[in-house]
Amino acid sequence: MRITLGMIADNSLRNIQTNQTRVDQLQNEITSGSRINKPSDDPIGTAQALGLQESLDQSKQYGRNIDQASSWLNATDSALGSVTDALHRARELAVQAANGSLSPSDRSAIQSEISQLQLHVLDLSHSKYGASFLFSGTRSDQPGFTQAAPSTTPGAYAGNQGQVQREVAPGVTVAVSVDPTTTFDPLFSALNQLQAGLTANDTATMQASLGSFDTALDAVSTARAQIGARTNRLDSLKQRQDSVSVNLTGLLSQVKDVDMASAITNFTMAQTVYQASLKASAQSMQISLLDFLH
Amino acid sequence: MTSPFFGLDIATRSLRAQQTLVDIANQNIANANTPGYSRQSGVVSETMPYPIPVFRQSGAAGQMGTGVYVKEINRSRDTFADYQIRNQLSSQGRWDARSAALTQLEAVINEPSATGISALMTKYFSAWHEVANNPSDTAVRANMIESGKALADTFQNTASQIKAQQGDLDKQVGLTVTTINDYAQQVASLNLQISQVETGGMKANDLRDQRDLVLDKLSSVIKFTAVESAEGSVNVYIGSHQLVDRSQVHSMGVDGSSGKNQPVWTDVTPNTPVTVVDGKLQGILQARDSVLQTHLDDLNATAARIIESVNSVHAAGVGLDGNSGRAFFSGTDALTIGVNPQLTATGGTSLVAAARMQPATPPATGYTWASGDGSNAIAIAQISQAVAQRDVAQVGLAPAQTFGPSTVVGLDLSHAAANANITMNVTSGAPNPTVTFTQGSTTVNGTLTVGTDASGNQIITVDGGTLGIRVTVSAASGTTLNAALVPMNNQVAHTPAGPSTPGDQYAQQIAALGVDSSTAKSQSTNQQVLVNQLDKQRQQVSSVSLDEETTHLIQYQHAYQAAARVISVVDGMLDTLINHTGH
Repeated sequence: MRITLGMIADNSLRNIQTNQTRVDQLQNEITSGSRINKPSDDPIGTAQALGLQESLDQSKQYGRNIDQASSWLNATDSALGSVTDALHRARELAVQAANGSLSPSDRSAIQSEISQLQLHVLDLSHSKYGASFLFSGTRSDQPGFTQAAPSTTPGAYAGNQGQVQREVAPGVTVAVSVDPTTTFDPLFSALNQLQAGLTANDTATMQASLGSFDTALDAVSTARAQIGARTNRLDSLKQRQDSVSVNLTGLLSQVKDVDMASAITNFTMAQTVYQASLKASAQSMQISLLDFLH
Repeated sequence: MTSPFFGLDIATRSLRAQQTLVDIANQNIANANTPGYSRQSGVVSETMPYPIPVFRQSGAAGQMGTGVYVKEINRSRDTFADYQIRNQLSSQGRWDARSAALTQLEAVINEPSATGISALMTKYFSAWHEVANNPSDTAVRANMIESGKALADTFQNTASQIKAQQGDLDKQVGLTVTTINDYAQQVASLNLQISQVETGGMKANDLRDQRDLVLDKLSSVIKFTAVESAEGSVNVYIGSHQLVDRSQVHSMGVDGSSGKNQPVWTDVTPNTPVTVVDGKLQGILQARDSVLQTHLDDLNATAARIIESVNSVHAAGVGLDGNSGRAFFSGTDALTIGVNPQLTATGGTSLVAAARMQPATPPATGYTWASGDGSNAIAIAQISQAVAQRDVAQVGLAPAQTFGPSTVVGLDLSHAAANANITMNVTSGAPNPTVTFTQGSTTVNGTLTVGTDASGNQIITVDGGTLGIRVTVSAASGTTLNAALVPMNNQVAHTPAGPSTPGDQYAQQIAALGVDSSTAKSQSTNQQVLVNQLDKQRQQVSSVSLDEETTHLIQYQHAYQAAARVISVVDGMLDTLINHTGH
């Protein structure tokens, strides 16, 4: 087989270029940290990576949704906590008033405190989360109750019955608002009843208002229990979401990230091969017969 | 007996022959690095011996050799290797062109990346979640519109870059055809020169080398068949049409009348298309017409799907002005996609339809909407998921809303079961609208039945027909509909066929691109290896070995010296004979 200088030169050049390409490719992987820099690097891996990234981003969004929903529920609960306090105070006053042995000045003192409580509860029903009212259904740009009266009174309630929904997992929505009228109507009714009884000095009405206050307490407690249940559900959803996120991140890393240890090892090897090919080429192309003739 | 001068003659011939051989070796050494050069060798032979047999012979010892001459100069060339390598060069040209186009397309598509379409799609649908969390917040709405714009811009950008790449390839077709004609011209003129030389009895080695080099270059551009004729010309055929006929060229041209450049033969009328097989030209044509076109079509399909789904759900919801029927995206595919200008104009954020018409609280009747309702925003966000159950959207036109012909009422019926009956509830007397169903570009008149339901409300029942319909309510321009036209809530099961989410559809498209590109790359590399192998075989035969030539030079030099020595000897003999014999 004839070997000529031209063939040796061509061969050396091609191999040097192949080795250089390999070194360049590995360097790219190491500096970018990613095995997949374009779809042709690993077509199946690319499709997987895109899908996992999408799932991961969506999962993070659901986490944010859950956080926001939890905050909304917390705000509602704390407002209802204050409402419960006001309710207890009102009931105390009702017990006092139903006693039957009040002087007119006592009665007017209680009346003015009840008025204040009515305004206070109305104010609490205007609680907001950010810029949204908590107790107006989905009409969250405006206060629900406009008067300290139950929604059966015309014009007292300007909100609606809509439920504020949040999507917390694919296809799973959770209502974060409580029913405003079911929660506040009994309390406003009870306060009005007591106020009416005090005005008319009617002990029977005042005594009946005790029962109304109990009903009101039930309503508020029911609402708070609902909130508690939903909060618990959201907590466990959040935990699951977090672990899903962690898993997805791990999977994504497996698919997409370069294994630094093996990449660096391969890179060092490739560099060595490259250097060896340079050296071998340099030596093999130098000698010819002409060196030995004079 | 021969004359004393006979020896001079032999020696002279030897000098001449060795001189020629040295010249040939010199030529080889000088051209050791010339591309396409095949080493030449002189064929030395004895000259005619003396005497020729005749009737009356002299009787002396014979025949006497008369010396040496260089009979012919040959080039060492393996023509079969030439034929083999040209086939592989054609394949290589095709795969290289294809691989280059796909690599460029990958750069344009730019996946996987945080700024690619996949990431932007996810961001867009996440932004709808944020709108659902905060339906009346202007900043959140503005942010969502921005992310919609970013998505639309990226679709447009990518699509127009693919089109631009197609345009570039189109230009390249023209340039490649010019190159083919150039090469053909060179072959033709070399044919002429070679036939002139060879009919004169000589060998046109250098010219043949040049012609073979041009044919190699031509073969990587387009595959041809070459036939050598008796007088040394090579006739080149592409398919069954002749490109080079001895010294004549039948040129190719380009026909751009169909909007794309196609190679045609210009020597027949009407111009017939060229049967392009293999080579760079075919690679470019395939890349332009099938590879890039397929990916552009896929991109358009993904964009169209998003436009269709988002628009139909968006039109079903109401903005902060209580009106429905607005599209979110404008355009129909990746090249034309944009955000509805109404939404990007000042005050457009309030037109984003995050809420839906909901039944009013009894004792109120009819349907109302509220600004804190984010249910439509949730529905749009769910487009990115494979959600199992979907509501048929509710839509309402506010009482006394004026609408023109073909107002899109906007029902998302894309997940309705086939042939479902969709019931529409008209709450009070209204002019009977005509209802047409549009699916893609097919329009069908819906069957409309007017009746009354249990509450005495007028009901218009429309036959749902096939999946993915959009209800267009049309009436004469300026007509006032003085009631809400609203469909009943209809829970339907959703069975996705094919890629269940837009994200999956897009990911599949990218995977296909990746497979295409990596196949092209590995084929290109394989071809390179094949070509290298065949080239090595060729070079074994044809390339110049400096060691070989140097050895030959030493040989010829010695022979030359010996011949010169012989001349001195004969000279001495003559001197003896002429000057020193008898006086």
